[in-house]
Amino acid sequence: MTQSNLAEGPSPTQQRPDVLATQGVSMAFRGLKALQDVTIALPEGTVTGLIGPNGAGKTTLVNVLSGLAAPTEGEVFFEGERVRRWTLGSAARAGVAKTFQQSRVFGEFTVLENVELGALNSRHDVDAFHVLEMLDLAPRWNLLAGELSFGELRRLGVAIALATRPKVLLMDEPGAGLTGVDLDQLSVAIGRIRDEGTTILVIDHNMRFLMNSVERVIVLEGGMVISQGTPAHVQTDERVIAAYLGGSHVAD
Amino acid sequence: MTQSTSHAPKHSAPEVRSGADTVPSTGIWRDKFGLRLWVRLVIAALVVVATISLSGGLNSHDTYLYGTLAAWALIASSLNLVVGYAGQLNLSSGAFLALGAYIGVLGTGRYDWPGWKSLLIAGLIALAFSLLLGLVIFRARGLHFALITAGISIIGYNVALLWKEKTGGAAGISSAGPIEEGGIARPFVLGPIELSQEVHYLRAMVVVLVVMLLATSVLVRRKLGLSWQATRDDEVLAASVGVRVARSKRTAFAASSVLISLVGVLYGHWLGFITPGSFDFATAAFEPLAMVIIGGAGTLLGPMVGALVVVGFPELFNGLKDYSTLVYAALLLLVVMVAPKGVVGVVESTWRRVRRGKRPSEQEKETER
Repeated sequence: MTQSNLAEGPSPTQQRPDVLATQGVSMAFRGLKALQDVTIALPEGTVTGLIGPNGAGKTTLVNVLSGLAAPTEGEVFFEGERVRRWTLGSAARAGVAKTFQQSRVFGEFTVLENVELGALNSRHDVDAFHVLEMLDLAPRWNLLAGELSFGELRRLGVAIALATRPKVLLMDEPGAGLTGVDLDQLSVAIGRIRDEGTTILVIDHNMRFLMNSVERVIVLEGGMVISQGTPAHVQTDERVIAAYLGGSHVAD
Repeated sequence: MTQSTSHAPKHSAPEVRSGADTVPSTGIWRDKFGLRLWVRLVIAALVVVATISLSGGLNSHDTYLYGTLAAWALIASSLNLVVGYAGQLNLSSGAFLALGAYIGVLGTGRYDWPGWKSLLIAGLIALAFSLLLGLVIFRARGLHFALITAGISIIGYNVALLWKEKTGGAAGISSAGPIEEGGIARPFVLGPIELSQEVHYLRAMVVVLVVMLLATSVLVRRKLGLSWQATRDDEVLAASVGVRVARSKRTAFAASSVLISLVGVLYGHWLGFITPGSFDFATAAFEPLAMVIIGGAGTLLGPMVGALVVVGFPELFNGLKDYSTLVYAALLLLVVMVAPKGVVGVVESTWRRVRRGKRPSEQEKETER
């Protein structure tokens, strides 16, 4: 179900312009190199997966892209232009939104109000109900955010980010801790978001969830990009197999 | 897939809206309880008319009591902007209240300023101070922020005590003119309005309070007020959707501080005679914060309810007077532990539960879909 929906989407081609990209980004924390010379690109309208073992630098890379952290070396490009003063707020206003690992929501507001708060600084008109429907949250519109289930809370976090009408949506482990129906709903929602033209980068540990949902994969290991390409290409890359996937996963 | 989602809102949105709760909860014309603006205006008008017509018949003790209540409700409601809506535990209200009161009393008693001039000067000075302070104090968060702002109130108190030339030091000053005039407090004159008797102040303060609460009820549904609340709920999340978090905190602090100073002008005149003791930490910084939190931080009516509790307590339990701060501290602790949204918060959540309970069938229908 999930796979077929996404597979029907536009296939990634080389001609698509890159919405968000990095050039030689490095990040050092007191000698520890979290990222080394990372050059990646997110072609417009695609879903890209970012995978790698724990400590590979996935979250650090997303933080650099979202403006939460400034790289010690290298540059970030948004719509072809080098970014300056790239902070979480300015990135969001420019059109790069981020969802968080822990489901962050505005706890004192209803579900609908949460989406409206997300849309507060959007340069476009936002149909809050449409956003809720994309995340299967419309029937819950008048509940307080605190009254939602775990899976709904996670989707509300995505809805808030989506309410900014981003060009790029960076999702930090959206599937973490989710199972069954919740994971499927999220997967379908990611497809819907992509279908409306949003470029998406998804970090996840869950290999099956990712491989089914994405058109391109970037594999990080030890702060370096060891492979980049279609899921099929990446899954057969020997360095990836050695570093992360292991024989049993590839056999699937 | 795309098609079905893009058409869906037209069908299901009205259905959903008429579901468990018929009141859209946002928009400036309605507040959280779903009261339309005209309903709020009618209530406001009724309160004003009732106050003006009934206040004439009050005896002097009651007039003073209700005046006290209105004054503290004003101060707490002003403080609520930064504490309740922007979530910053601000204890600097004492300094700004003193600033306004001293400028007001000096303006009327010594410099023969018309009321609007005192208000203008107090407002501008408070604005300048709060913007400058806002640049540094928000480097601290939580308890550290509370500690720094408490320091501001303590400095304000000491300035009032030591700057004898202007403030009269510990002996204080009054709004009365020179002694040749007989030492009678001068009225607060604002155009055609002249406040001289206790009851005039009571009426004026109730009108200002009503206007302030109406304005707040609209503000907290506009972009500025919503940015404050988003910042309060989660700074990182707020920033991630483009809210200018630092600016939100600064504007809330400035708005609140300016309002407290303006209220201070009125408060100083109402007291007539002020000393630094009128603005000590417990009275002018701790108690307003206690009112906001006990009544319900970030609720429209909470600070007023809090003022009622804090002002009313010593009135009810006269013997406790010396221990009043202790009583508020205990009350504060209790509220923070069992009802973080104060008295009004408890009422609101009960109201939500009751309303939801009324329509269980519809609620289930929504869930099943």
